Amino acid sequence: MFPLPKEDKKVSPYFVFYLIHAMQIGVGILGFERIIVQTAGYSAWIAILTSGASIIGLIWVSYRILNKGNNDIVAIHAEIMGKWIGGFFSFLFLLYFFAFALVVLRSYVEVLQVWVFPEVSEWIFVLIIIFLAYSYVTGGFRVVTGVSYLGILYGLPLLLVKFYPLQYADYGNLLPILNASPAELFKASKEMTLNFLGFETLFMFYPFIKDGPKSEKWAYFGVLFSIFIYLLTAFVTFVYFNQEQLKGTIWATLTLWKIVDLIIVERFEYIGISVWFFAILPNICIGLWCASRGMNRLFPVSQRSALRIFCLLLFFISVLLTNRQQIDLLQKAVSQIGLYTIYFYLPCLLVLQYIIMKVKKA
Amino acid sequence: MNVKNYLCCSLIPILLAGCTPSPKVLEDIQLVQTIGYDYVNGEEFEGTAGSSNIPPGEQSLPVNEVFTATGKTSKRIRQKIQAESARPIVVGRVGLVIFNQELAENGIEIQIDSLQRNPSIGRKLLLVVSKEKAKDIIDSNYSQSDSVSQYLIDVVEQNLEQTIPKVNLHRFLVHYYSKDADPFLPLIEKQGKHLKVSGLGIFKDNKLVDTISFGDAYIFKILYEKFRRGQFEVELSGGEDVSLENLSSKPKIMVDKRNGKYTAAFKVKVSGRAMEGVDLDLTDKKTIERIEKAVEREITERAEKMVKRFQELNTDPLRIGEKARQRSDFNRKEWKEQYSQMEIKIEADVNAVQSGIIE
Repeated sequence: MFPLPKEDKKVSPYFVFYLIHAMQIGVGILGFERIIVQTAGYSAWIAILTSGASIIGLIWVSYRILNKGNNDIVAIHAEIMGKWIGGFFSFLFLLYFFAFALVVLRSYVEVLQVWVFPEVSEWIFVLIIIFLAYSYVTGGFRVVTGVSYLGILYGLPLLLVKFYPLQYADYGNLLPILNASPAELFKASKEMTLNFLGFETLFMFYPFIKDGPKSEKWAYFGVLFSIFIYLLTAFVTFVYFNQEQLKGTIWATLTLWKIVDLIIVERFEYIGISVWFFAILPNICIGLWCASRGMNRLFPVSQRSALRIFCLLLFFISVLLTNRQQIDLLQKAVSQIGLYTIYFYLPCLLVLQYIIMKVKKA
Repeated sequence: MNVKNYLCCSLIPILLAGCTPSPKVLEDIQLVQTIGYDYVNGEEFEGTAGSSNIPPGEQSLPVNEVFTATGKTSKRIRQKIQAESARPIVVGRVGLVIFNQELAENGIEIQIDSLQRNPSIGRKLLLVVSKEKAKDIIDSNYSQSDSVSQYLIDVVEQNLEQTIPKVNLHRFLVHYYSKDADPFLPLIEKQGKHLKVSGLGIFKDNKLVDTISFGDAYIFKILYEKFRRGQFEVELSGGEDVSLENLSSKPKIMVDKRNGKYTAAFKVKVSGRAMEGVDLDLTDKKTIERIEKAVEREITERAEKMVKRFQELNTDPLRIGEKARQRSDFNRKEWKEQYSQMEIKIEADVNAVQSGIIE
C-alpha cells in the first residue's frame, strides 16, 4: 500500500547530518537568547545542554520506531492504527510540517521588514521566497537535500563575525555559574527545545535514505552540531550584553552584528540577514516537501499538485498575518504542538508500536 | 522545462522589478553625521543635526550644514528637520551624539531609547556630554579643513584610545541597563578654534550627577580598563618632574564579603618607562624606586578621592557592583545599602624601567 521510493531517488546516510542540522537552525537562533535568559538568567546556557541532551534521546526513540516500521510515518501509522485513525494522525503531522514552514517564512519576512526594507510590503518577499522554494521542492528530495547542504555551508562563515563582539566581551557576566533554580532551568530547557524542533521531518524522509539504520549516528552528529552552534551563539551574546539589556533585545544575534566594523560595510546586519536567507530556505523547502509528500501518501493526489496547494496556502496565510502579535501567536502555537508531539506522542508511539507488533506476531 | 513554465519564470522577475525599494544615491540624500541635543524645558528638547555637503566641482571643500528643531520626541524633531532640508535626511551614518550638560542633568532617557530602537543606528556610535550648547559645537568653524562632523568625531575617538576610558553606544547601554553599575560619558568643551575633551561626565541611572577633570579621567581609565601606550606625569618629593611613557595598566577589582559586610579592593598593575627626568640619574636604582613610589602614591591618593566622591553620590561607574554580583552570595538589597559607606581600597603596583637614549 505504501511503496518505498526507488533507489535512484535516495540519498546517502550522511546527508541526514545536514538535513537535521539545517532544520534545527532557523529563525530561532536570531533571538532565542532573550527568551531563555528571561526565565533562567545567564545560567541559561545549561538549559541548552539539557534540552539538547533530551533531543538526542528523542532521536534514539525516533530511530527505534522507524527502523522497526522501515517506512515513513504515514505507513507506520496505518500499520499500527489502521487506515482511518492512522490516516488522521498522519494528516495532523503533515499539517504540522506545513505550519512549521509557515512560521519560518513569516518570521524571516518580519525580520526583513523591520531591519532591511521597512518600505516594501511583505507579500513581495513572501512571493519571491515561495517561488524559490517551489522550484527547489519540485526537483525532488535529492534537490532539497542539496539545498540544506548549501544552506549550512553559506551560513557557517557568519560565525567568524562573532570575533567583533568578543572584543567587547565581559567574561565576568557568566558568573556566578549556577544562579538559577532547577525549576527555572527546566522552564528554560523547555523553551530552548523549541529551537531544536524540526528533526521530526525525519519521520517523513526516512525511506529516502539509503540504508536508513546506518544514518542514525549522522542524526546524532547533526544534533550535536546544533547544540554547539547554539552554545557558541549564547556564549558570545551573554558576554557581550548585560543581562537586563538582553532581556529587552528582541533579535540579540542581529543586534550583535551592529558592532561589526568592516571597511566596506557600515551596517553588517544587511549582509548577515541576506546570507541568513540560505539558512532558512532549507527549513521552508523541507517543511513543504514533507507536507506535500504526506498528502501524496494519504490522498490520491500527485505530490506536485499537493505542493501547489500548499504554496498557495502558504502565500495567503503569510499575507494575512500582518502584525507581530499574530506572528507570535502562531509561533507559540506551532512550538507548543511540536513540544507535545516530540515529548509525549513519540514515546507513546514507540510503546504502541512495540505492543501491536507483538500482538500481530502472536 | 516546457514553454508555459519558461514564460512564467521569465515573467515573475520582470513584474517584481517594479517592487524594489527606491535606491538611495549619495548625492541625493542628506547624510547626518552628528546629532546634538539641548535642553529647552522639562518637556521639550532641541535637536541639532550636523551634516556636510560637498558642492559640485573638483577641488571643492565640504560645506557644513546644520538643522535645528525643537520637540518632545526625537521623531518629531526629525520631521521638523526634514521640513527644512532639501533632501531626505538619513541617519545611518551618525558617528557622534552630543548631549548638552543641562539636558544630561535632567535625564537622557528619551534620546537613548530612540537611538537604540532605530535599526539603522550602529553600536559604535560615540556619545559625549558637552559643557556648551550642543548646537554651538556643531554649528561652528574649527581650524581643521575637514568637515566639522568628521573633526568632532576624530577628536573624541583619538582621546578614547589614549586618555579617557573607551565608551561607545554599546558600552554605555551595558552600564545603563546594568542594575549594578552606572554609566559615564566623555565630557567635551570648546576652546577657541578647537574642541577638547575635558574629562568625564558621571551618571546616576539616566541623569548626569558629576563631572570629573581630565586628569582624574585618566585615573578612571587606569582603574577601569586594561590599556597600553599611556603616559603619566608625576612630581617627585624633591620637586623634580618625571613622566612614565609607554605605560601599560591592568586593573583588577576584588569584592569580599565577610559577616554580611562587603569590602572592595582595586589592584592596579602599572608599568612604564621613566623619561624626561632632567636632573635625575635614571640609571640609579634608587631613583627608579623613588619614581615608582611617587607614581603609586599619586594614583592611590587620587583614585581614593575619586572613589569616595562616587560613593557619596551613590553612583558606581567603575562597576564594582557588577563584580559583587558575580559572587554567589550576592544580595542586591544589602549591596545597595552598604555601597556608599563600604570600604574600598586601592593598591597600585608600579614598575618603572629607565629608558631614553642618553645615560
